[in-house]
Amino acid sequence: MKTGSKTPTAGARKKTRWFYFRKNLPLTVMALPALILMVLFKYLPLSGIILAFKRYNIRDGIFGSAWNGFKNFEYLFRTKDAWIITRNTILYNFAFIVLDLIFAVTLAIILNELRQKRAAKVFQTIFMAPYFMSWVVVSFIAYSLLSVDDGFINRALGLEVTWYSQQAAWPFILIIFQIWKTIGYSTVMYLGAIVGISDDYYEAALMDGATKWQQIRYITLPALRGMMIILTILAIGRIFYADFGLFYQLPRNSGPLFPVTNVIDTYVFRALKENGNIGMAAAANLYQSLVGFILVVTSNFAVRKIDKDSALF
Amino acid sequence: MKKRLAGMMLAAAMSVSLLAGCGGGGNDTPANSGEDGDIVTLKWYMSINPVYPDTEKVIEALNEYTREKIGVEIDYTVIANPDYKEKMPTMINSGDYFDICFTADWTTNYLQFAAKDAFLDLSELLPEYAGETYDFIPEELWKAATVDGKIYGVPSYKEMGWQSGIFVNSDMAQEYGIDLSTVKTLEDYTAVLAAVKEKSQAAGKEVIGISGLDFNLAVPYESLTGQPTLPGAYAVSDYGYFEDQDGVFNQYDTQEYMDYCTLVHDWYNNGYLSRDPVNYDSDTANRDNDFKNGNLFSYVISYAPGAAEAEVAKTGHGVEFIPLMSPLFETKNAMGGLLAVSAASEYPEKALEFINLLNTDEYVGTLIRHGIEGEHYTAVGEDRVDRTMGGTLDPADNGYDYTYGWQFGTPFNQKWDISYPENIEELFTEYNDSAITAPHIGFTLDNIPVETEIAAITSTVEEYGPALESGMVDPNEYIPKFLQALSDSGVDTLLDEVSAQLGE
Repeated sequence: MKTGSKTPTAGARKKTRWFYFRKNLPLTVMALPALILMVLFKYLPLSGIILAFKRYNIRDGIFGSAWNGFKNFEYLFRTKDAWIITRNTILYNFAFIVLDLIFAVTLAIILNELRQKRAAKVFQTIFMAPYFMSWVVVSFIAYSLLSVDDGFINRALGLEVTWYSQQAAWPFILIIFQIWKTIGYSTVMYLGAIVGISDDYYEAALMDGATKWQQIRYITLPALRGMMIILTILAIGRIFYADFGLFYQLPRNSGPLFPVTNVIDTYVFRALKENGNIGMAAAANLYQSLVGFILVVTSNFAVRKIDKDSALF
Repeated sequence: MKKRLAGMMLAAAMSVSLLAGCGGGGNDTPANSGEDGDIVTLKWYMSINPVYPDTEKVIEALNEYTREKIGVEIDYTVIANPDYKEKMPTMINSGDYFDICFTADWTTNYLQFAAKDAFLDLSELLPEYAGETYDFIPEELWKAATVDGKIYGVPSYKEMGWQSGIFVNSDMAQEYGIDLSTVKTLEDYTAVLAAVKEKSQAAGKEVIGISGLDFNLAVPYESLTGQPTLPGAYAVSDYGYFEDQDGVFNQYDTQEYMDYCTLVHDWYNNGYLSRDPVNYDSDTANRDNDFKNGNLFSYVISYAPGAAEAEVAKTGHGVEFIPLMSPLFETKNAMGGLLAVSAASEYPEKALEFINLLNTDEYVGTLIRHGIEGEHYTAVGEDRVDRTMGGTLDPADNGYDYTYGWQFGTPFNQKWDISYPENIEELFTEYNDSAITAPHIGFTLDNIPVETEIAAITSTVEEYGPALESGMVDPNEYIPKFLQALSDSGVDTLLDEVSAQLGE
């Protein structure tokens, strides 16, 4: 933007290009390592997409293997489970996005309003802690709560519920654990944005006699809007990906729960772990990426229609 | 700068040739790789539990021996079973170099990688470079390991077949006055379970009667897909099950399946099982602990000779084995463990010579299982070892101890630990002689034409199988759902393909 605003003098076009190159050289060099990594690890592997259309064998390699058309995609849509899996993936992720947004923003505002900054830090750390736990560890925490014989919940309430075969309970259990685990991370992002809001607004609001509630309603929330939109659009892009750990480890791969816990990632894992077909795995991934891409573009398009400045691109 | 680099490279080259010269001096067998005098380094990936801290020491001792004997050094990577299952296939798929790797039907799928040409066809090389092993391992086993007329791995020669049965805490049975000799089938076991429940409750304890229930272990059939949980069964007439079935059938769509599930569901309802058997079965550490402490009366296992004695040593109480069937030898049993040579290996002949040592050389066989004498075991007589070193070494503190170690190759031709019965090798012979050979031994399904169906069916079986077979859910409600889901997943296509490949 800055460089474009200077109008180059006529007849010195070549010189100016060189001039700008020289001028931006330090920035270019600084960007280079990241760019190289991007190309190496994000763009080059894209050629592997052709595996989705191949009948892979080791001898002929990725590029030499025979073409297979769309056969690798068949198993994804083959069973009646196909729609259950798609439904679960999208509905759970939708619930996660909405709830995460609501809880994270609320929590960030509450933490920000805490008078004692030390207490705010302590709470923040506590909320953040589960984010660093692996799902395997969380699954054992859940098992110690939900186990039929020794589980804390059954013991405390004197119940004999076999939680790992109660379909109705699991949408809630999954959502609770997911929010519990990820809330700290999103909160920090919003908290960062809140801290960045200039105090001038609040001072001016105080002068005008705005209540705390009005300050939040008319200053904090509008200021967070951009952040919310970006994070949500990014989350929507991953709506077709399910957190494997959450859906596989937490329910302990319990068969009776499949109708409510089976998502695309777990289905692909179960289906392919016996025959380990790389082509079919690539097909599933391509399908997920494609749907994710379409969703991001559409939701961004929708945001543009409503408010051009808030759109991601 | 350039000069210095050249100098360094020269020095490096010289030291390499010097080292090679050293090793070559002690090489007393003619090297077959055509590189006389060179020590060949073989990269060996192994899957075994657990990974012992003294592994490096043992491999050093092994290398000392193999350098002399066959001019081979081993670059050994051992990975615990659960990780190996994930890592090795990825390494093979991504083309990482290795010479020897462990493979089976339960890890790093032998058939799949053989079909993908990841492993080398050994049929021609075997008699020449591993002649002793080739003669030592019975022909049926070779036949069963053969894929498309080619042998892609050296199978572990141990018990030939599988046999299911129940391990019972016999001390507890005696205490409760239960007569186990009447139990021949699972149905007979109902009375035992009832007695256990009644007696243990009277004693103020809550004892789980049985765990580990699995249809395929209770009602044997030949599994033509190589995976007992996948539909595609064939009746084995000696057992008297599935007599009404003709040809290849879906084992889940049988009266036997309904009867079995009904029986165990009754057990579940009567409180003979854990209240959450699926989770209970998956936590084997907890199960072993319960069995040891008398909170679990019995569990279903796949038996091998000497296993009951080992269990006695582990639990400290009496253990009786009640067989539910005679051993059955199927193609998949040859695939319980094999050592395969990579198709990309530069020294396949050397790799085979090494595998030959693992199978036939008593020093190597004992070293790789029991470790170094005086450090991990003491010798007892001519052909026994004591892993506790006369009671001074707690097995938990032993730095290297794969007592049975069949994953390294045959457990014969090595020294046995004294916890095994004196006549252990006879027990194996007896077991192998009593084994029933499945009608289609040597048949392996080429699953490429039905990959889509297998993917869908595998997922379906995992959804319904464990819950039904552990007795947790009502078969009258769930089996019809299960069958419908299987048929939606294309079970008929799979069965037709199996029949077609069988030529029936």
